[in-house]
Amino acid sequence: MPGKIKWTYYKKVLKHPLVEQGIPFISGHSYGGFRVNAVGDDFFTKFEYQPGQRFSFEAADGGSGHLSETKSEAIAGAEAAKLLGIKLGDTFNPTCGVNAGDPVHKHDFIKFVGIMAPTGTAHDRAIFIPLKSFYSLEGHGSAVQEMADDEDSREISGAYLKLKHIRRGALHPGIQELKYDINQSQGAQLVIPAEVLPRLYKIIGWADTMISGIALMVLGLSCIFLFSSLMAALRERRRDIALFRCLGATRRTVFGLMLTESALTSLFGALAGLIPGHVLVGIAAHYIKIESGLHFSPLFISSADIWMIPAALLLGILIGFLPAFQAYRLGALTNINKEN
Amino acid sequence: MLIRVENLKVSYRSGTETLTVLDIPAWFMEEARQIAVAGPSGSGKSTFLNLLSGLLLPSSGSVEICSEKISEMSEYDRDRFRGRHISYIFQSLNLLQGYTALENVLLGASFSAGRAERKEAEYLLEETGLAARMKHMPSELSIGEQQRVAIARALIKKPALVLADEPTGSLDRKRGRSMIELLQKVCLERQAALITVTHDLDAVKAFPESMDFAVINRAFSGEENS
Repeated sequence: MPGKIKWTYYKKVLKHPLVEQGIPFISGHSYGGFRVNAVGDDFFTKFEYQPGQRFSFEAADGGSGHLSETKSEAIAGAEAAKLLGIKLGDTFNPTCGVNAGDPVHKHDFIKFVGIMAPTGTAHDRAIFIPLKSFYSLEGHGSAVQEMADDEDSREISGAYLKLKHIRRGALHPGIQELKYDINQSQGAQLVIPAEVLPRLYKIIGWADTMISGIALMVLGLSCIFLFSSLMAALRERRRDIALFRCLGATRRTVFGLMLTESALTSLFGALAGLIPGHVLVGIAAHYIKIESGLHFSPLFISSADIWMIPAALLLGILIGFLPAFQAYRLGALTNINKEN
Repeated sequence: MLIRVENLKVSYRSGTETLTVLDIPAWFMEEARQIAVAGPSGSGKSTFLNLLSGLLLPSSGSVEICSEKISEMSEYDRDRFRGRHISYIFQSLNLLQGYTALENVLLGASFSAGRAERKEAEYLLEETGLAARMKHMPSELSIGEQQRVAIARALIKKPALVLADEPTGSLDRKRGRSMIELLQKVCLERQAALITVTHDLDAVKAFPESMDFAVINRAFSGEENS
């Protein structure tokens, strides 16, 4: 069966004053390891995968082709098209199920007429067919095929609902009542991402806190290590510093040299963490994209990355201040003949 | 006149007493002269060099070099003055271990007003017989070779005055003599005055002029008390 939600119930929900728009979908099919979802016609014209962002088929955006015009036409997400080598005009037979060995609709040939521009979301890793073509697939039997023409008998897996907001980012308070009504009904459940995601982040937030704690500990240890290294270097280089003074270096020069060394050590330390970090993102991004379709760019420079450079320099200067002051105070004559 | 010293005294307080270790009423030196300062240990030879270099301030009196009274300068100005006009060669081998011979020579001009010229440094190392050892670390050089690097480093900034404190102290007699000859030659070529403190009589003989510091320093000879 296509799904658990009756079309009539979906239509009823659509009529609710707090529901602005709905796009039905049916899942459960696949091709080449990618999900084949049947979607309502509005999916490509009205659905926003990010606020203000709609799917594009423009070549300038990286897309090609056009929307499905008949029920035997499909659209491929960018990543699915790339990995399966899909070209416009290619045909495929969808598999009835998502597991290996599930039956294939051998006599239903669906042609690719569009490839969506990359979105950086899971939609890149799916194939979309019109809702009607799902009901018409040969292997689904007459009960399902009748749904193609008889809307009221249809069933769907779910629907994307656009709910009324009182302002940007704030849902109408009446939504809670709608949610209650839907969740009390049989066979449907309303999930509001804006509510679920913060709860999810709260659950996994401890990991974030722990990583931040570890980072702070590493930072603290690095500071201690840098400070003790500079002090040890100072002890070892007393004669060198005295030699600089004898060659004409002023106390200020010696102070500046020590401070510069500290700042540069700190800066290189930050870069030595930052650059491999981005390389690691670059390596992981490939696998994350394959697994989830989410796109992470190693070239993305966050504000934290930008602030890290002056912060590392400042930290280096602060840590180096005491060793530099000690170097400033070193007497040239008393240290020039000292053995290290 | 390159150096003019007048009523130079260095005294230390020891409890309630004041101990004078150096007392020179007057001493002069012309430009580009070369002189050996001899005298027994404790006669104040090194203290005298430290005063001339500006690393030490006298308790009283004045030191004038290149017509500038360095004894009245601030420490910052003395450091800068030394960076421009005075080079110091030590008895102990004071090369930076992490630097090549060439880099050590270039370091000699790092704190002077002019830029360190790589060609000049290479030329000096060739002149001191180290053409094949420029890229060597101090640990790969013999003591004599290290001392020659120190001589090249002292001359790189074209100083008016080179002060050498027991430059042959770590060398045997033969190498000591050749080191003094080299030092005299390169100083003469660059018209730099040379004052070498030594208690090596062979080294003293190699100089056209010498002075017995035990006589010049009244605090050591006891003349001041007479």
